[in-house]
Amino acid sequence: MRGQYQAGKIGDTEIEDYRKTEDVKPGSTTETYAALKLTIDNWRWAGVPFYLRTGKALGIKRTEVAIKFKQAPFAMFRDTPVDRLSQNYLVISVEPTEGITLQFNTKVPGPVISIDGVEMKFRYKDYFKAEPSTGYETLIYDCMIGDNILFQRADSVEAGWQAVQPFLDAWKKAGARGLEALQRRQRGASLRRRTAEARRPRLAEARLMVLNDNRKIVAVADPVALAKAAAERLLARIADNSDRVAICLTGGSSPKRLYELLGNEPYRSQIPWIACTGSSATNDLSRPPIP
Amino acid sequence: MDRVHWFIGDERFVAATDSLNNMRMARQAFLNRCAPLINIHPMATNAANPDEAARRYQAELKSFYGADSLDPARPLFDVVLMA
Repeated sequence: MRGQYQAGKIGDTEIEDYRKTEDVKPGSTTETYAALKLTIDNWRWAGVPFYLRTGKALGIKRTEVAIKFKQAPFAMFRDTPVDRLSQNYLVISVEPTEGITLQFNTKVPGPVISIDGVEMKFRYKDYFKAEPSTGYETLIYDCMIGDNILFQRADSVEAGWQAVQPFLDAWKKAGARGLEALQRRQRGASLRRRTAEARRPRLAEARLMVLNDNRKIVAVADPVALAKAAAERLLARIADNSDRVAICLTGGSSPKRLYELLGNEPYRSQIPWIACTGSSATNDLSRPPIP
Repeated sequence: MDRVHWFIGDERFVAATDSLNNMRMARQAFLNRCAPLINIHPMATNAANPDEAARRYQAELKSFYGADSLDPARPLFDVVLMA
């Protein structure tokens, strides 16, 4: 099932019609919500449905995997019929409250035999102080150390599109009757391979050579703090190498503050210059940098 | 002899005197006052074209490094800044 949201409210926040939002075509048929029931045709997963739901502009922001356990085939206790047992779930919460919850049944204390649902809850934030992160820090760091486990591999992206594209094609071609058409076609032949290069997402397979042995990405609050952090890092690397040191600079306006710091105290005298004289005319950090 | 050498990446390929020249800004900010000329390694933006400039810079880097190929155990640069 798929859908596209219209104007409405989330709590007190007004949400604009999807087709009226900026950069969206007024006649767009792009779905903003999808719910799928999937099955895997093999011995292990027979009879286990996979429900996938995702969408934009939903009431709550939450990412989780919920595993619902099968209903017990019989009740061990008198007066507690199977259909009165609460459902047992293992919920893996990915975002925003990372953790794991196990919902199960237990006996209600007292002389009467009665079973009820309870929760066993682990939340990361109860045990660890999480550093605020944009998410990109991890990815950029992984690029630097060449760890691609969080990146899509080409064959898995291809396989994903092979599964999804026939549905998209059929919907596009036949409108509402598309799914029936697809089902008819699938009965006879296997899924047509898709070849449209244009729809393939760009693969993130960046490799950078890291010369920073600290291998740490530092987030700082503002450009001045950034320049200071970079200057200190650079001085530390110079100090690490008692031989000839090679530093590769960069252009643009971002590093200008750093360069001005390096030309002035207290940084200047820490660089092994032979002759460095005069004070900088450009040591005023409040000036806007060269664009 | 100063032991710190200053290299630079250059994607703009404009004359050394152009305000958009990458090394010009670094020179004005600190290199001109402090680093000996021989330790400043700009890209030759007076070359006929970017390919030629890149070839020359490659030769300069190899000569500085003292080998034709990189040994992962011995990096060429101690620090690489990226804007």
